[in-house]
Amino acid sequence: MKKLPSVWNKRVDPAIDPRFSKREVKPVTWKDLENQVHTLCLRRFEMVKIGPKGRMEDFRRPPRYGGSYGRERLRVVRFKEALDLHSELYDFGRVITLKWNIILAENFKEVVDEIARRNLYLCLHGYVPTCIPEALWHAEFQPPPEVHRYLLERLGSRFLGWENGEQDGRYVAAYAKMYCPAPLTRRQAYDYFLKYFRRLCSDLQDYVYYEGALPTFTHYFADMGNHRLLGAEIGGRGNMSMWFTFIRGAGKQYGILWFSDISLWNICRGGALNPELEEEHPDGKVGPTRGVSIQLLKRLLYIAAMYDCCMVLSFEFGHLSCKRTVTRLVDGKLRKVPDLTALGKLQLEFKDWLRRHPDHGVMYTPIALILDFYHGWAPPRHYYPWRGEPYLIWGNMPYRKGDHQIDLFFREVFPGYENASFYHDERGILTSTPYGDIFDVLLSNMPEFILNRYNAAVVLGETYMEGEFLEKIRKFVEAGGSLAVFANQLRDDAEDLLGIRLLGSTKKCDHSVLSQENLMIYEPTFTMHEIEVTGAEVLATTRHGEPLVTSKRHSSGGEALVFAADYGLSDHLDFHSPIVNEPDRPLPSPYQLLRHVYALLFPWLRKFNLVEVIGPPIQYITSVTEDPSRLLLTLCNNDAQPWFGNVKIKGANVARAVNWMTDKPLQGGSHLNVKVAPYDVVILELYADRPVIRSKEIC
Amino acid sequence: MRSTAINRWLFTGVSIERLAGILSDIGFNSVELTAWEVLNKSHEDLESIWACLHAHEIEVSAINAVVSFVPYIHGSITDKISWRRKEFLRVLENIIEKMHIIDCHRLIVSPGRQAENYQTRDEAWRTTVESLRHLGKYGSRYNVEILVEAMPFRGPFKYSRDIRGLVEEADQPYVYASMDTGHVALAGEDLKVAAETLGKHLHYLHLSNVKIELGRPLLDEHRPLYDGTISIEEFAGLLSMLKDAPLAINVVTLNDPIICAKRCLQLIGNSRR
Repeated sequence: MKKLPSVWNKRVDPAIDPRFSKREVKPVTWKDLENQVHTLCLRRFEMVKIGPKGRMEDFRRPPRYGGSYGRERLRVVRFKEALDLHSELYDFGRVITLKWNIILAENFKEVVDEIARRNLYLCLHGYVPTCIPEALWHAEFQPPPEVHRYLLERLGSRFLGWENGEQDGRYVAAYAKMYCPAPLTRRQAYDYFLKYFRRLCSDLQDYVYYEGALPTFTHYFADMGNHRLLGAEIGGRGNMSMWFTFIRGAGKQYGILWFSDISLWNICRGGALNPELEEEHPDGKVGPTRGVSIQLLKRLLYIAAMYDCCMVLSFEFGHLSCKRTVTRLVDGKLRKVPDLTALGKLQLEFKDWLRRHPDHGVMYTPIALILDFYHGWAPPRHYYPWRGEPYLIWGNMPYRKGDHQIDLFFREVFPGYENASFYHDERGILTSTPYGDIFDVLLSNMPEFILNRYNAAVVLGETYMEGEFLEKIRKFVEAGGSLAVFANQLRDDAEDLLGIRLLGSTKKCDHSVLSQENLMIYEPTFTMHEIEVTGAEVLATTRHGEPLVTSKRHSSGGEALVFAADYGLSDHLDFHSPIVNEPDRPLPSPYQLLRHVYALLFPWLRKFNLVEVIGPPIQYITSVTEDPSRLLLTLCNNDAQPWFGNVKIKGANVARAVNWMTDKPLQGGSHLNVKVAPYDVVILELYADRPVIRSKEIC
Repeated sequence: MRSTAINRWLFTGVSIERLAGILSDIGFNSVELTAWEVLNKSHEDLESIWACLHAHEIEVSAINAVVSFVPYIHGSITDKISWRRKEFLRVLENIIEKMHIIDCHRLIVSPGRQAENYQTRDEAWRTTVESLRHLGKYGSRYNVEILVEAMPFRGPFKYSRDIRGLVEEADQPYVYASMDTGHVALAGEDLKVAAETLGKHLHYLHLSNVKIELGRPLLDEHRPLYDGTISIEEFAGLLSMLKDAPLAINVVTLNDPIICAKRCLQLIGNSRR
């Protein structure tokens, strides 16, 4: 009988992480969150400034260029009413995120006391380097120690921290290039990066949470030891799946929970969505057809939940109507209150869904993509700056071949991810996942016990198999893990692990032969590293029989694949004109993934899935639970056509199933026929007729 | 004899004793140090550095605060946040006070970055001028020239005309301009035109190269003089135009720094031997 896959099915809980007790700044735990996934309550209170004669005036944002309010007195008004409306009458959620200037309000303590009394969570944001605090808006501020102390005293761990928000993007767009000279090495670039963030976090009492806009840097924040939560502002800013491979990976590697904050903004679509407006706002930035579409917002909400986010915060504004009111019973009296908008309804439906399905499992990500600690990789184009120079790492170094490999890998597993935020039709923000949404990114410094939670590892980029890292990989494979590595990443001897030996020479090649099919493939010119096979099966060769791909099976059950082609890529391709980064245009890569690598690596990745999804391309996420026969499957149709397909559980029949969007049961059997409407998401609870996983136990 | 220096940070990990010997052997007569090297050293340490260099007839051509201090991260003379700017000016004053120990009389600074919000360009200009006036006055007490250099990624004052304007408006006898060939090229200016723009204010020259190609990111790489877009002829033309200005080769490489330094010096044909 075939052995069941051994699967890690426990959620990250910082409190039981062996490193927790040693941490000076404690990450937020599930206990702090009362074991619930939280949603946003509100983002702002009404504030007034008080003039010299005690006259109250509306507090408005100062003009962007020049001027400031000086030392005005500020007061928060009607905050209890706002809390009643958002946290009780409508019950949007329990997380409040406020701009930092609240700490300047003369009734700041009163506001904090009220938040504490209602058991709500508080985040404070608005730090922007170089901007004067006197503007009372985005500012380079330093919270006074007594303010910080008061927040901790009254809210305890429910004060989630000061926001390190969007600063990764800001650093890359505006600061990284200011270093003179530009870095020569990744290590140097990392040191530069860290200087910026040490400076920033020290202003913020070293008690921060990360809300990234370029989350491929998430591990570095987790590594700093002063971040309580890791998260990202998602929406129109990038490919969510690729970003969360990094965020989840960092969360797991460092034992910190993660969250998402869904934004209405999309530069490419000219601003932010406000479905309540009938026409575009005169300032040209807000309107019913601007920003992130409502269909996308819905998918982002449910996917965030299935990505195991501990908080799914949504939308900057627009939950309640400014125009329409409804009559509701408030404190025993009928009162007119603002009506819900489409955004408000969406959030409440999602919150109700969370309430109905509190046990939505643990996302199944059996494959670790391992990058070098100093990788500094960012997608080839992104928001910072939008339409800026493509193919930069760390914001100040050009991509090298290994960085292109990471990019091309993501282009295969999340096809079109590089288009995110560059197309008016929102393509690329969510994509299909032909091999399953089954990856986390770990960095080479990961502890052994974290790596051993995975079933397979793919080493990507300029990551070299040597020293301590090689030892961790060796133990991982001995424990049953599988590995894919490229010959140019090998440094120290690993013959026992891989069954091959590097000969130390390279040669050019323009074809490959798949051994099993005896199929010859024409390839673009590539550089191969010559290897000698000492104890492995050969899966692909040149036509002269030189090995191109080998596989060594270990008694533990693990398999080690080696690809002889340099990064599995072609040599640099010549283009007739330079690559430019423009909206609504694709961004070509100067390298090509070799066909034999494509033919052997990606089907190998697919076999780690627990389900088979048969039909046109679709995004699918599997979640596992403590019950070995219960799975959850999220199907997200990111296409304009309805999706029709079949879903099968590998090695079992579907005994019963429930569509969690409608809570209606579905007919079981060898497979399920499923339809997903265009731009919609369906989450299925599947019960197999027998166990389909074993729980992994790791010390 | 023209003062011909090379930047200290090309030789990371090489002790000052060894470096003095190397530079003397190659044919340099001065070296440029970073501001950190002065700031973090005691009076005795600086004396010992000077002694090492002096033994090989190597002078300190200038102290470079541009490579040591990045706006916001370390400070900026353009900072709108008044107490931060004053704190940074105090750091620069501290360096000026120490420079006499190593017999150095030039401090290179750059305008900072305009604040992201709530600072107009004019305001940033006035703040920079105010800082330069302050530094000029302070420098005059210690016989230290304040040399302002344009930085391509520390906008908005990244052109030679901006530097000239700042120096003229600061109107201090101890405030002058420095020019880096790589920075000028990154700003899209012609070397000779930039030098002409700076005119009599130009008191110091940095030589570095950059790679400017369509489709390649623009980076302040400080490439060796022989490896980049600026041609040998352009360097030669500039040097013949600025016969007396002290110069410093300001480059970095992952390859052998000694070979790099030799090749750069050979290229400018200005060995003192």
